[in-house]
Amino acid sequence: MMTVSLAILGLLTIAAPWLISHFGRRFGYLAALVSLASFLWFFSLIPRITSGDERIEELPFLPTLGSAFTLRLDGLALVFALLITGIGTLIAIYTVGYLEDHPRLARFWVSLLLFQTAMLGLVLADDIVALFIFWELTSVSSFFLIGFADERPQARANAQQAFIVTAAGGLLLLVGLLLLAEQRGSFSLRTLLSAGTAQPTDALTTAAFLLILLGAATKSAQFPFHFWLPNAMEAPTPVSAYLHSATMVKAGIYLLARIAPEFGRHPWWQPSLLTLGIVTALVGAALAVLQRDLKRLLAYSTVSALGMLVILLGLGEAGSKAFAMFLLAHALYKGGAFLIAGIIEHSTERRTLDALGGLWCRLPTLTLATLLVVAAAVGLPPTLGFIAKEATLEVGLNVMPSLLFALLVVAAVGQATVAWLLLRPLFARPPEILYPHAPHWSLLVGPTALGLLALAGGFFSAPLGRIVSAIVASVRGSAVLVVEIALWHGFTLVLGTSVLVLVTAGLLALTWPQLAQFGDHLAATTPLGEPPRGLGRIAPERGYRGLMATLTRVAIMQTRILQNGYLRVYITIIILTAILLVSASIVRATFPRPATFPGVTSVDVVDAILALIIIVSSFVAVRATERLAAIAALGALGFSLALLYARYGAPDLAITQVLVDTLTVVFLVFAFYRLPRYARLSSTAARARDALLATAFGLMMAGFALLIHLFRYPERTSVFFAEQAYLAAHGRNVVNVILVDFRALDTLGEITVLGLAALGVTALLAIGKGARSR
Amino acid sequence: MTTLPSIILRTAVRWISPLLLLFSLFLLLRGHHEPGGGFSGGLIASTAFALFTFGHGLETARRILRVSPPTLVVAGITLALVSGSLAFLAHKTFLTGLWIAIPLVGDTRVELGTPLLFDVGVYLTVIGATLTMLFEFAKE
Amino acid sequence: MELLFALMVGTLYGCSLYLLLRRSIVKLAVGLILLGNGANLLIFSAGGLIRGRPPLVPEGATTVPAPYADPLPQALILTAIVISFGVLVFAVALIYRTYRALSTDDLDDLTTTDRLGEVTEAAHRPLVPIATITQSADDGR
Repeated sequence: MMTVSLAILGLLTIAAPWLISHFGRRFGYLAALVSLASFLWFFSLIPRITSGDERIEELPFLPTLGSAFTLRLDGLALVFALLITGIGTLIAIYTVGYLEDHPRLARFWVSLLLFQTAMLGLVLADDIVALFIFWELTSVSSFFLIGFADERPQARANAQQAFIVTAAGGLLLLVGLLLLAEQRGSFSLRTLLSAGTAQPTDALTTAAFLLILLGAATKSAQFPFHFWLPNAMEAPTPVSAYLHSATMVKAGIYLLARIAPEFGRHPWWQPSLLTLGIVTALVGAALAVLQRDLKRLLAYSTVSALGMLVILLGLGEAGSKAFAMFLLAHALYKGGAFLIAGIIEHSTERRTLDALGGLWCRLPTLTLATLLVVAAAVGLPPTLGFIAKEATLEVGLNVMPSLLFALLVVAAVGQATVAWLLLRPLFARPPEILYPHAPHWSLLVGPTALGLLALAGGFFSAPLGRIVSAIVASVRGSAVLVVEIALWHGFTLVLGTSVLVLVTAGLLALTWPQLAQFGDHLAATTPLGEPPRGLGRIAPERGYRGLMATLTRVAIMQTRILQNGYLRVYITIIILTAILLVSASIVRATFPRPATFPGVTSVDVVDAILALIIIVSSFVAVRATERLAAIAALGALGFSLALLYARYGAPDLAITQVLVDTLTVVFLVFAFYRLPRYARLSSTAARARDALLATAFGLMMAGFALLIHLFRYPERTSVFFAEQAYLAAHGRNVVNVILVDFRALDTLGEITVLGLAALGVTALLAIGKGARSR
Repeated sequence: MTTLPSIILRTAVRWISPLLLLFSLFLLLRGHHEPGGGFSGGLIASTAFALFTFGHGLETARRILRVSPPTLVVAGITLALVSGSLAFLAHKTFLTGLWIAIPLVGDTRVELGTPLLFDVGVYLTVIGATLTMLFEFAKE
Repeated sequence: MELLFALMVGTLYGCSLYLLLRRSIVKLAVGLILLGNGANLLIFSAGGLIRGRPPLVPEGATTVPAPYADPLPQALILTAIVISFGVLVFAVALIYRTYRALSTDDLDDLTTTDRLGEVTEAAHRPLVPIATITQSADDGR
């Protein structure tokens, strides 16, 4: 069923352009239905999975490499699958109202559905090869979605940045996973992560851990790779809500949670994750409140929240319960917040906070939805946000050193400030009177549903507890234990901190204009094409841009040296390298047999004459001063070669060679009289130098051709072909059987190349035609 | 190619070309058991048309061929793909050879298989590609 | 006989390299033909030289009686012959177009695509697509 739901999504992706040409924007409802169906299916599995069951589906895939396409559904995967399909449903409906009849609707949907398929595959995959492919596919689809407005240079640059950062991280991840697979002899995550009982501290495991951590950090926008996420806000808002807050950026978090049962015991786990998380949470929170752009504000706060999740994972078992709740709460309220930002932008065509205000009286429905989302985001009781925040603070207070806890609280204040700031467009005094148009109902479904869900989370603590406990079991790698979730803990220190966070954040939100001015002064981000100033000079993004600039410089430099436009220089370099490598191998090789050749000296007269013709005609072709002489020499050479083939048991080759030779001569006669003279252009010195190189190369190849006979492999593929040609493939001509049966795939490729060569000739000769007639 | 060659060449070509075409089919069909096959058959057929082009000019050669050479390329590659895909119907992997034996009079029977179809695809592609190139050059 | 084959292979490779290093664009085509033949002969001789025993299953038998010439290199070479023919014709077409467009047969005059664009600009613009490609690459920078 998991396979089926992936397959259906995949099919929908492929069929999307066609369906959109029929249904237009209403395709969004269809996509929502498909997502909803798979959401409901995953939903129906909650009881089974939360009682400790696992679901595994397997399809053979690359069986020779020991890899299978295995899908596995446990608590962690289930929650992610629910988020992906559930929020996916809402996003699909939202897109109908947001993009309306955008001319490139089909491209948008193909990318979005590709993402949804890949993301679902990513969280369900048990096989690391499949995991990696899905991982990179999410990066690819994210690239297309960020660069959706590809007429804007900024969108193109940011799409490229996000892709390069996350895909590079993906490659590191691949190396890490393969190291693990190599060490532990399996491609299955289940096996890989439950292998060790002893503490895994050897160098290979540590290297694998660090590589996987780097992969996760790039994907989940951890410092210093966080810069791509705010820049990804070039994407249409449904994408920001879906990929860049609720799902894709959590892929790295998912992966860390996935490997936590095994690597959680690694001595580097806690220090590295805590450092990474706390720096990210602080940087994200600090930069968030300084932004003017509504979406960048939310993006930085997402960075901060992702850092928080990493902290909670870094705390190990103690943090797992808070991790689970924070994960759920954040996906709901941050997704909702983005959707609201999108509605505001859609209705007012404004996105900067200081240009907005007073919307509450004109957009009452939006105001309601916003209030719901903000309540969850700042963590007001009785929302899920409140419970998650309480749990986070409680863990922090109990197990973290007080300095770290203080930093955690600061990050929480930053995030809550961002949440409060969402109210500004509604209630602040507007700089000018705005006349927003009322949002289509499809736009409001998403944020309202997410806000309500976050609210409901606080009331239905029993089912929530079951889901949380299933996640906790996956993260701890233990059996499912029932987690009690309570809304009210009494007047505790945690509650006090919580109130403090809320109030401080509220006060900060009120002074936001000053904060934003301070932010302008700091200039932490540098727009494309401008020199960095302020904080921008030390921002990690500068490192990225410097790296890319260096890459370009190196590319240009090496092109100037290696690709200087002189064909003979390229050839000389290639040949010298070849001579060097082959000679070195010949010198170093140990020969299995003494260097005597039976029959080396037994030269047949006819063979000798043919060989002589071939050698002489080669030299004639080189020395000829007339084109016709060269062509004649080539003809003689080809026919002698054909005769040699015929004498040495290759009649098929002989026939083909004769025919091709005939046709070649025909073509050359056709073409050469339209070609320039057979001129001598090089200087004598150049010719002498080339002759020397050619002689060396010829001698080496001759030696190579001779020495090859010393290596004969006892088990030859040919023996199989010769034995099975008639019995299995019903053919008496073994060569033909190889071509059309045993190795037919190769032949298929070869006739395709032949067809392409013909197409190329047509194109080359037709271009001239068109130009001349103009 | 504006001035046509001598009448001797034209007459000779008129007789030789069909014979060559026939021979190319013979080579193609016997290829599975004796030297020959799609590649050499296709090359022979191309030579036949090349000769015809020499003798009677490009336009006549095109008319005699009826279909355009690029169409032959497409047809050939498609045929090869189809012959390979037939294996899917028998739940085998792509390009697995399938054979049926058609009994003729007495003990003799003719074996037909998808590899033969594949070879016909090769034959058509080779003719198509060679003639595409030949005609383009002849036009210049 | 192996020695003789090695000599042929060496000669073909050496001569082809010498021709490939020439500045004359026509010699490049001849060099390509020699290179193709040399490579084929090398593969052929590497498979082992057995005279007069083609890999055919005789009537009445079910397998090829040993010794027989290795069929695998033959299959490789057979397609290689046809492909190198296609590539050769393509190369000749390319050479022909280049010559028509740039009125030069000296490879040293064909050093950069940028210059190719300029020259084509002057010479009745027959290679518009290449010029457009360089143009758009500039825009992207």
